[in-house]
Amino acid sequence: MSRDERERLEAYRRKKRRERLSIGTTQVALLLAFLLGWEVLSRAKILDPLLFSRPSLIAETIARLAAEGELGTHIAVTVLETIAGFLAGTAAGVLLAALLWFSPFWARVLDPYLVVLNSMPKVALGPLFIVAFGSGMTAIFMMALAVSVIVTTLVVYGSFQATDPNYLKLARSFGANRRQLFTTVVFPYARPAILSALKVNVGLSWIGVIVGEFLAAKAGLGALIIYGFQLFNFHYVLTAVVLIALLSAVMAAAVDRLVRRFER
Amino acid sequence: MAEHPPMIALDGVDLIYVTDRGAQMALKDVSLRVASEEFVTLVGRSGSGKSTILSLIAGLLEPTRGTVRLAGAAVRGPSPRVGYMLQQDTLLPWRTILGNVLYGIELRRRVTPEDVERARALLEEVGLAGVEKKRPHELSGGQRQRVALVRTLMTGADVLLLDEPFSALDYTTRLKLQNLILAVMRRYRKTVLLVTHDIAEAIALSDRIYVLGDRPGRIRAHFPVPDDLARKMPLERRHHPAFQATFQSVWQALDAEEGDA
Repeated sequence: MSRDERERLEAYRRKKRRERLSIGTTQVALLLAFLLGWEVLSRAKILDPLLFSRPSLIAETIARLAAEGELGTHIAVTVLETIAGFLAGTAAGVLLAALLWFSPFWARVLDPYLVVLNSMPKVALGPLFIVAFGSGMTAIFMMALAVSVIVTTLVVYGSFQATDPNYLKLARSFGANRRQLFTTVVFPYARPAILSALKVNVGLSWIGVIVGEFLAAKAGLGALIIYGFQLFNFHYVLTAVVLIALLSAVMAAAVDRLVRRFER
Repeated sequence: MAEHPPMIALDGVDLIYVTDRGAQMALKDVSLRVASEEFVTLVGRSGSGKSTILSLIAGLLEPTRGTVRLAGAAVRGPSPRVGYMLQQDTLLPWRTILGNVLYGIELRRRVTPEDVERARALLEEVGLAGVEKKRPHELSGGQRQRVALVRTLMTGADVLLLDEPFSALDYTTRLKLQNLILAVMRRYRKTVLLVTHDIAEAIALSDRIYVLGDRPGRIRAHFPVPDDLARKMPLERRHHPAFQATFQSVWQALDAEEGDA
């Protein structure tokens, strides 16, 4: 690299660093302003403190629940259900998509049913799940699975079908059978779609889990929301909401990183 | 009577494609022969059914009428004797170069250390030593097409079908690859059927040329490449005085077709 090029590169990097710094500072400032505004408006009773609580009280509630050891259980239960739900939902969706690919006849027979199931809000089946699987973690896990499985099936099956026909032609000219077409061409070709389904399903799984916990749970952040609601104690509700926001963001970021590693 | 049957023989082949939109005759009464170790080219415009003929020989399609034979035996499905090289290199992007080269073998049997050794040797022979662990996207278009060539050679096929393998490459890369392909085909004594729309390419590479007419595709004319041309390598052929004359006759045959349309 010449001196001229090096100087240019340095200047470019300095500019980038400045931009990153100013964006980061603004983001933090915005968060602080939001928390401060919330706190002040709530104390001044402009926001109803009973309904909207305030950051200091939420922090207190978190600290107390943590000290009582309850918080850990709530978080662990919800996180476990969510992870199990989105992994199982994705896996089951991919499996169903594979079965459809192997049987074009059944794929076409089932097509309208899948479309209806996909547009139906799965949480409407909540009570059914509770009766079928009992009021507990199994029912909630099944809800989380149900929310993501059909959409995964449709998306992944779609990408199986979108396989570049030239690759298929190549494999066939080498004498590949249908199973070999799937394992050596169709499935690897759809891998990016499967990984992005994984990312989408994290979010969907949270919906299934929280709604499931509303209906059935004795523990978990969704249960904490309902508990607070029934006592008309909105500190609990907002505490749970804040924790869900944080945890889901962390989980989405973690899955994103994991997926990126697999994308090479 | 002691004569061998031609390596590739099509007799009175019709092919009708049927889709939801209707039926269309893609090939009409196509008959052609390729002798063992011969290099034959089908020249035609796009839509003339050139690739369809290759798919028939590769056993990916069945003729509606007529027969397709390989060394005297009717074609029923893909055969290990036939290697198919497509227009795009179609290297699988999720496999390494070595993985791509061994792909054809992997589909038929277990890969042996000897296969890997042969793959390395062949890659080296086409000027690609040391790329085994790379991914397709790390290579240039010309390099990728050479990998595809090695992949086709690896399966041990003695009949190679080349579907416009040079069309996606820039001019100089194309000329070099043509020289390489002809040299390799001669060295390994392959029987080759090439498909192209490029007349110069056809003359530069082949021993004989069939000109294909359009919709439905049928054989319009047939030209042997003059012996003193056919003995030379592609780059030399292009400078040979007989090159232009041959080009003119093939051009006229193709052009007459255009007049019909």
